[in-house]
Amino acid sequence: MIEQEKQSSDLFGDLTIDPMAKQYLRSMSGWAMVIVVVSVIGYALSIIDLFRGKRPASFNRAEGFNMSFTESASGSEVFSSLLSIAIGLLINYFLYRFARQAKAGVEGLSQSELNSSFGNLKAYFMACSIILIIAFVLLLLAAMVLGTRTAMQ
Amino acid sequence: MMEDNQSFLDLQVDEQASTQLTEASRWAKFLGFIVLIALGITVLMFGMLWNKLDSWFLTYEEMDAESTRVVKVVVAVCLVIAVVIGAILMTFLIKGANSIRAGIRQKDQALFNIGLGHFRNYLAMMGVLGVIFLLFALIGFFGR
Repeated sequence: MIEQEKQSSDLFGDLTIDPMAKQYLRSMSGWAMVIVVVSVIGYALSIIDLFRGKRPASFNRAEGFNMSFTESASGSEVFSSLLSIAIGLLINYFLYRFARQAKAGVEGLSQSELNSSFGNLKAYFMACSIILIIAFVLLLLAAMVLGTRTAMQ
Repeated sequence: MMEDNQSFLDLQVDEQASTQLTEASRWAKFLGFIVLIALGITVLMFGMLWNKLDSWFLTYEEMDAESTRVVKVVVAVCLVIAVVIGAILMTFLIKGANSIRAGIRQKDQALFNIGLGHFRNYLAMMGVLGVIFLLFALIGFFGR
């Protein structure tokens, strides 16, 4: 039994969250919270912008029509914007949980909170990677379709 | 005796923490490499489309040959800045992931802390960039 405990201690007991690691974790938590707050404000601005129907016009010079400086968003634009905001909120939710739990874990010396915060950090990186891969694949597909269309014309 | 109490009270990188951190660093490294590959492909595509950009910009009434050249240079400079910033960010992420994994594997406290430091740098840089972008967004929002 004692031998087993000793082995367990040898396996995981050597690394600690020392004062420097604590300082880094506090700093990580602070910056993560800054990212979350900035992102949420940005999403709020995007939503307001989307529904007030006053957005900068893109260079839309089709068939000699005049460029209007205010234009309302189409249904697909609203849908894609809301989808990207929802994805962004999901990613930032993991980051927010990491920031909150890491701070609580370090300040309150709570091992379970700290472990949970690392789990949320993992979820944040995982969500970012998966979403990036999906976006990348969709972009490649769009480029291929566009290239095929251009070649056929 | 006091030291014993201190280490008992201190937070540990226990089995669960080391598993979560190893997984987190694996995903962080993966993310770093994906973004670096995406940046490389973007630069490659931009290089391939460099000559076609002229005809593309010239479809706009307001653009002449001179302004097309200026816009191309501005776009290229912006792309270079974005690629450099992205590469620095992803370097922090990959270095941090490598150090944390190696630190946990070798039980090296210094390496583990260096990894956390790299992750901190990544988050700090993202935070500063986020604040800068938010300022531009606010200027655009209230400037209209």
